[in-house]
Amino acid sequence: MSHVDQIEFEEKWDLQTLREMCQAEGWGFIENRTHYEWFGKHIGDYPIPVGFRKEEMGRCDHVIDVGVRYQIGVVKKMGEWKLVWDFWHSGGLPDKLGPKAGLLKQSYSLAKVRRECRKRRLRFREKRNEGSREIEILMD
Amino acid sequence: MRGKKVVVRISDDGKIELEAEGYKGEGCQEATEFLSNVLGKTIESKKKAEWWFRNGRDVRRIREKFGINTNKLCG
Repeated sequence: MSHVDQIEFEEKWDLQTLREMCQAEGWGFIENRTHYEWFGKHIGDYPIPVGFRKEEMGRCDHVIDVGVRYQIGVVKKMGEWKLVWDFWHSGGLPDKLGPKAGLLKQSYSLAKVRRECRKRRLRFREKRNEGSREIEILMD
Repeated sequence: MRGKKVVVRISDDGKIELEAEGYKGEGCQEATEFLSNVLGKTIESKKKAEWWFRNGRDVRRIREKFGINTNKLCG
């Protein structure tokens, strides 16, 4: 029997996968950096992320640097890791991460799959297509 | 015979698709389960055309003709 599953991405970030994602994509993961680059103050043009206070913007536990002007903050909140960033266009992140951060989700999911394959000692190969990336896992 | 494989396809908007190929029986669900568990929530699961053509017969037609639930049968 063969089948196709559609999976909905869930925002459950774990630090090790984030590190591996950064390594694979050529991004920086800066450990223990407590401030990420952003506009610098919240001017009220968009809502503050759920669970955050205005004065917490710009503060973080680690930083992801994808090679543009602004950075992504990795923040521990209520026992979970959250990613926060300023999506002002000139900061460069919207282009780099794609609409609704689709490219970030893609990179993170790929890192998760690689991790599971290595854990189970499964061989895999990767391919980049127009509009998608894929990992083919050999199960024999 | 084609080998067993799982293809994980992730589009630029973050949508994830898992495809199991070359399996017979329930093994294909197990093959993708370890990935679907870590990647997110399964919102849809579709059997591919070959699932419906087992042992050279079109199971879907047999099911429709006799009203048999074939979902629990191996492929």
